[in-house]
Amino acid sequence: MKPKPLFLVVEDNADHRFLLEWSYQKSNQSCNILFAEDGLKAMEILENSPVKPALVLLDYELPHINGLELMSRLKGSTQWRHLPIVMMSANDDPKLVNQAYTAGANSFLGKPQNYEEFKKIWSLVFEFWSLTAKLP
Amino acid sequence: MNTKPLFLVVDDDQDDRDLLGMAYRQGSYNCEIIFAESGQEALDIMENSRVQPSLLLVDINMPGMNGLELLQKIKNSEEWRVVPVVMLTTANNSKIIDTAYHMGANSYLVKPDNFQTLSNIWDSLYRFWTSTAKLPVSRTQYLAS
Repeated sequence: MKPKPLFLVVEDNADHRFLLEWSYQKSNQSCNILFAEDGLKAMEILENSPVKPALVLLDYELPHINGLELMSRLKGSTQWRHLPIVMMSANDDPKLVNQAYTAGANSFLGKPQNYEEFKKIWSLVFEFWSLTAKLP
Repeated sequence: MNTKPLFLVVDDDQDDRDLLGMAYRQGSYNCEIIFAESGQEALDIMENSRVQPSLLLVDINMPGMNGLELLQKIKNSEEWRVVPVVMLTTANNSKIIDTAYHMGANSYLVKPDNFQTLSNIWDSLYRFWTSTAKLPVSRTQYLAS
């Protein structure tokens, strides 16, 4: 049986990590998820984890290296350029959305405002990326 | 002003275009869909159309300019790289999938061999990209704002 893809979620906000985990538990769990609290931890996981993530869900607003900087590093690297990155942000200003796509984001999500929306959105994210799309 | 997302499907195979059109017409999808029969026609549409596509669905195996060449042209263009390109192809091997992502494909879908599965794929694609993801704002919307 094919192993479930691993999604690396880079999110510094503990409440949002909790909501993501909760939404994941309510979903059909078609992937595995792993959390990193900031961009540096995400890089450590990418470099050292024996199981490589198949997709990164990347918060825009992060301490140290922000999401856009981390994405530019990954998309500028031959090793990680292929890795799909779904950017997420509470700020869905169209300028930011376009900037993220132009810098190489595979997709962009506006962060939902309540539990029900979180659950709905994450269920569609998990469904599309782990069941419908082919990942590298 | 038309604010519905516009999906541009690039596929040389008439049957595949018809099947996707059928999947689209089967539900009440709040988007527009247009077709190009080749990579060159897709570029012509993008250059000359008043409305910029919100997303491209691109076959790989096409005569003339293939889907990966079209992807490369779009992702190398300052003007067009913002537009998500989703590959939709029968090519289902990991080398081509990795190559497409490496070249900047936003996602990759494999064409199924039956209509019901195609319909499910279209539905999942539509729901993710229009009601979950934020699509880039088009040139037209910028001009109108």
